[in-house]
Amino acid sequence: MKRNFKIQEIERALARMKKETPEPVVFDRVWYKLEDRIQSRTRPQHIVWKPWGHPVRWVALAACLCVAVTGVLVQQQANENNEVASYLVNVSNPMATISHDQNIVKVSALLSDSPSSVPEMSDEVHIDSLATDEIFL
Amino acid sequence: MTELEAIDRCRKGDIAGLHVLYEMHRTKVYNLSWRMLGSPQDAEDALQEIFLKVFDRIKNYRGDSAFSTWLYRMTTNHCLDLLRRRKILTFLGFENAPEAEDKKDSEKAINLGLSPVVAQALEKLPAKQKACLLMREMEEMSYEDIAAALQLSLGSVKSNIHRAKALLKEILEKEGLSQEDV
Repeated sequence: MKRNFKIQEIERALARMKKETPEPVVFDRVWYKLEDRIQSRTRPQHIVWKPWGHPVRWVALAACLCVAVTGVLVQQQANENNEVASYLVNVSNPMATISHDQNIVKVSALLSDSPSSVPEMSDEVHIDSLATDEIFL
Repeated sequence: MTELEAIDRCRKGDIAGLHVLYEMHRTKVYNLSWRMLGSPQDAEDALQEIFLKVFDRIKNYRGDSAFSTWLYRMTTNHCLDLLRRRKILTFLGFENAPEAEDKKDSEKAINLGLSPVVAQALEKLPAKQKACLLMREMEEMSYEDIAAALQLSLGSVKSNIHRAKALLKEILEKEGLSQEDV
């Protein structure tokens, strides 16, 4: 026969169940198992990294390897491209590289004239004067 | 040794710290697992796994909430994971169908100290509702603690408990049981 339950009746049933405790378990046995598992995990042979231990690790290792090799190849390609580009610029317009050279200081044409002409003139004057002195003596 | 000292020692990898925490909380963790999973063997395994997880993940415990709340969260997550996995395995045909297991329910309930009829009805509740109801009615946890343990809002916990009771009532009525059976 179908009967209508009240929520309070269900709460009472649950409260009755609460008072009854589950059968006692051997907590010590569980602890010994737990302790054994922790200690066996900390033994040195368990620290050794074994990437082959699981298929997922294989995939992870292959992915890492793939990324590393691709990185190296891309870097090499970039270096080669830079070298070729700089070579082509050198060959096609050598002056461009010179004018762009930061180490060269541009000096005005007037200042950069050879200073040898002026000392030569003064040398001549000195020589002449000495020569005359000698004549007078 | 206080709980805080035990947590500190456990963080440093000291198994003695874990033992203290185990002594403090083992009964509650075991009871909750038993009631959620429905078998003492599963509860024993869960107890072991949960404290192993505690030892591994205690560094992630920041102390924002009580340790017991954090532990309950771990317990319920572990049990919900197991129930979910069991459901998938049943669906795929790797485990016995629930109908076949129903016969054992009354035996399980006697071990659990539950009324067999209510235990059967509890088995039919959705996992989250069951967890909320058990934590509230059997473990006498506050709504706030349940919300923290299950990572739900307070309103969601209350509505889950209300729905669980309504569903339990519906199941018991459908079975055509009297109050004496319950």
